Amino acid sequence: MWRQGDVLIERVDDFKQTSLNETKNRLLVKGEGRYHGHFIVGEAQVYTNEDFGPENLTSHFLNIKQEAVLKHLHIITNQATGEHADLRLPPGKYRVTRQREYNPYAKIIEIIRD
Amino acid sequence: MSLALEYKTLLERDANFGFPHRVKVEQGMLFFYRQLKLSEPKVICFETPLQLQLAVKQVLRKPQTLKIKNESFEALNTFLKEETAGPRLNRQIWNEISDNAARALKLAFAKEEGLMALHNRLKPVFAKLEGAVQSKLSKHLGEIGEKVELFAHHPHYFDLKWLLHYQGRLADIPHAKALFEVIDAGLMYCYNFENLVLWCPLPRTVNFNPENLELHGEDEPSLAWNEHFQLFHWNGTEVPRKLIEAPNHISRNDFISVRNAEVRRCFQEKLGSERFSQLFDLEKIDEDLDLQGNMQFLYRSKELDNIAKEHLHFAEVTCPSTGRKYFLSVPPQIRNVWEAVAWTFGKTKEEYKPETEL
Repeated sequence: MWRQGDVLIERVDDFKQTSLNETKNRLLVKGEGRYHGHFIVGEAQVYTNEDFGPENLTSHFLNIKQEAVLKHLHIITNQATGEHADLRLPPGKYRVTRQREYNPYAKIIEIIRD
Repeated sequence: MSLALEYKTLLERDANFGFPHRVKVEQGMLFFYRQLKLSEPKVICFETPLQLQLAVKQVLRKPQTLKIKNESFEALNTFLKEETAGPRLNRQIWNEISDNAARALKLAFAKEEGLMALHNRLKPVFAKLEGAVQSKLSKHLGEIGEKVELFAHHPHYFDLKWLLHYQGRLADIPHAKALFEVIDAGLMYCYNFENLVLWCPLPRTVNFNPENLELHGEDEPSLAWNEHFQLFHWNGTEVPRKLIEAPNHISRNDFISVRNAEVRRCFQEKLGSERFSQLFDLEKIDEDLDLQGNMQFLYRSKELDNIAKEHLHFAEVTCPSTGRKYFLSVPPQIRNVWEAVAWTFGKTKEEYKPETEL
């Protein structure tokens, strides 16, 4: 289990689920405040979880063929933000989990947007 | 001159943007139309990038009657009643400039060094400005079900990244001279039709934090075109106007209703820990070291919150990479700071065991 900011990465044995869609998009989490994002770079298949939400925090599954790197980059310039170091992920299958928060006024749980 | 001041000087235009700048932009644009052997277009300046977007959409689709009433939209409406804008010409103007300005300069000063150094120095700051503007435009236009129209690539304030390198040596290359005059006069974006040119100027106010060169305004906008189109940033993060202009009036609900963690952190930084604790009337109920040896805390409001009808609970955690502190709201039944942090990832404190936190 590794963490890069508001993203938690865990190794899993498998991810046989029907609600997964493979995507070419390498931007796993798009920040809104400052045009930053968590990108997966390398030989990786990326699957989005259609059930993702406050009660199911798994946003993606990754199938990494060769070593891949989770990077925190500026969305426009693709330059490293310097805020989070690179996270190297060896070949394997991984679950990507987002961070959540409780809203006491609305009495709901919401995904944190970095 | 500090870099932040240099960028401010480069990008900011004075508050009374108008003559002679508008005339210079118009003259420069007419030059390119003459080169393309086209008749003189009508040139209209709009105060802000958003007004320019709306004007372009009005020309392209002509359906809506815009509520904005000012001299520029009146001029546009008058023009459209009498004439047609004609086909879009952004590509042709781009080609004209690329072929006769950019290429000619490269040939004339082929072996010079320093062009890329200037480009690389300006690129990150321009990217921040562009990202902020595009984000704001997307948000405003999204609210009315519209998308951002791409502005012309040339002329565009990005042209400063290479034109400045040749400043003072453009006289023999008329296309480059005309382009520089248009940009130097303050054109930020434009949109070209065969019979019509629409454009808007650079902001009247530009503020960067000199320490990190992020868009930042301590008590004023980071970017402003007029009273209505202003952006507020705290160290590169766009924040609500109220936080910058009226921080003493920030309420609990103002903070809780912000869903973006970075914006929340800006609230904490701007307000300061003492004011933040006072705002929520917090008391510490648990603390422990995190994996990096930083203290992490669990706080609870001393009294029941009037609106939520429960105690408010926050975990205060430290980002291991930046050292920045974040307050995360957690459910009131949580009593342990590890339990609180684990809950934010949907884990129990026994399950939450990251090997590395970056």
